[in-house]
Amino acid sequence: MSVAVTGQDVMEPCYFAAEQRLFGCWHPGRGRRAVVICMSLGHEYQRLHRAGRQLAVQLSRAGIDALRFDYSGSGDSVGDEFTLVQAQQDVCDAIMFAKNKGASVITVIGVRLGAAFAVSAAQTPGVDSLILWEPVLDGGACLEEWMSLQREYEKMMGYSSMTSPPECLGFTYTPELWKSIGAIQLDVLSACVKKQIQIIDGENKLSALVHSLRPQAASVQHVNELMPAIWRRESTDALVPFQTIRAITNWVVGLPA
Amino acid sequence: MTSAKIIEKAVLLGPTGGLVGIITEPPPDVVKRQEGILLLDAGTIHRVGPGRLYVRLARELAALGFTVTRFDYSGIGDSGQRSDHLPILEVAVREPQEVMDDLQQRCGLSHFILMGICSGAYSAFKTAGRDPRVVGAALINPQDFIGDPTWLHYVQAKRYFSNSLYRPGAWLNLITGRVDYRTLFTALSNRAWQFLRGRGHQAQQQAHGIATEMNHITSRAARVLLLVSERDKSIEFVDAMLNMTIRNLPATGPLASVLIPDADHLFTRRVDQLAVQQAISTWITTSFPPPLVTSDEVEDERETVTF
Repeated sequence: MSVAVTGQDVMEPCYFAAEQRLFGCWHPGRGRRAVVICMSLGHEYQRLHRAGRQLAVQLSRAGIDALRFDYSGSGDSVGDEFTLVQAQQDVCDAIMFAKNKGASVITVIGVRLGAAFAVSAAQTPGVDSLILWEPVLDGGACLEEWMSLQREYEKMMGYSSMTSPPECLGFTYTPELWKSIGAIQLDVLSACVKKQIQIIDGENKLSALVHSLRPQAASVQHVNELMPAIWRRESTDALVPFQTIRAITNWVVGLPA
Repeated sequence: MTSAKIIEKAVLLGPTGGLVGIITEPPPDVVKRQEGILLLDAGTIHRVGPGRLYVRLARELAALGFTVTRFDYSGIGDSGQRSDHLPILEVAVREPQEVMDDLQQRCGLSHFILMGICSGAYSAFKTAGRDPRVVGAALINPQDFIGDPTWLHYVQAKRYFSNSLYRPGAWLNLITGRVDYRTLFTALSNRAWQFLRGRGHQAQQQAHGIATEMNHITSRAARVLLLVSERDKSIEFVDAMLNMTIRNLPATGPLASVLIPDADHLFTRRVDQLAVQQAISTWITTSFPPPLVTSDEVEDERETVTF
């Protein structure tokens, strides 16, 4: 596979995993530690996409391998149907891909709903650290927010209320998926035992979680400076949260080799 | 990646390999068409398209025998930035051409159909005007092709005059405060100011330039589809730029149009996304039927249209 070289940056887009079903972009660093980035879903992923790329670029520049990928049934990956169970398998496959590329230690980043998949992969051999970027702890609350945004949009356009199957800002969800997202109650505590943890908390709402993690985790960094919630902003705003990206990159670089 | 026999490949395109793209190839048991299709980014949304519309479109069109390429312009999605400081309006033409050069070498394609929403429509239109390899262009919700604030105000005012002045609901909105008074005031006052200073004439001249470009494209037998959402101001832009009424255009022919009822700019609702897929598939199959005769003969048989 060929690699893109832009200035000092190198990136390899590719398909990987069984039946080459997952699309990913591999940003090579120096090859010991790799970061696997688990993004959010639907409109949030669309809005966060460029930020994910910029994060991977910054990590790669700092010598850390980074892998971004699309879950099955999303982005450029195979299929049209997304399920939480399949996404968990996809994360395992992404970690395996990073290891096959030569990484021996893995950091998993979970962004918003992606935190659920990051947490599910925490016990995978080789994973020593987790970054939870504005994690969705309560799937039901997340769907409330999504429905509220959808209603706002429908009101603005003068459309009738949400159709079935559920839709949110351009993306359609099966009733089963909608239900399973609503049922998410993230158990960070058991996943974080003896792990290095960073919590990105731009709205400063996760202090209780951080407090509960401290006795269990190897270390916890709580980044609670005010940062833009770009998943709530239109893609056309093209915002990149450099402050968050810098905080993550610096923390990963500082992890024990 | 292979799914239901559709083959997708991750590629790096362009002379420096800086443009990240996905080539969706037809299944092996389908006759491969000579025309390649390029799906052009809608603004800053990366190559999967709004609501993943481009992915579904690419797979659907590949199943019809077309090789479909979705790529990110430099600085968008997964692609890095250019190092030559080319102005963005020039990039919008240069990069589709660079990708076509690449696909000619890589896939043996010599003719192309370009499609894009919003800025992608601008890119498709301008590239079609400059590059004879483009035999078709689907301009989806095209907006400002001119980039002059005078022009923008002209069209906005035209929208108010043509759309709202005679619609009782618009007056109700005005009375009940459900309008953006600032935009309304700016548009109408600018319209008045333009006419006082003769700028309306300037806007019309600019529109004439766009109509001439369109004429140039269709006169060389390329097919153009104007696909617009009923709720989008692209209707007014197209009407003003081409000095015509898009609603009166036929759904087939050298210059065709399709109106998606009730849809917004980015086809946010699933029902509207499906309508776009349907409209594009219909246009492609009627405008570019599988060749029964040589491609040269097909070229000769195509109609032309002038304004």
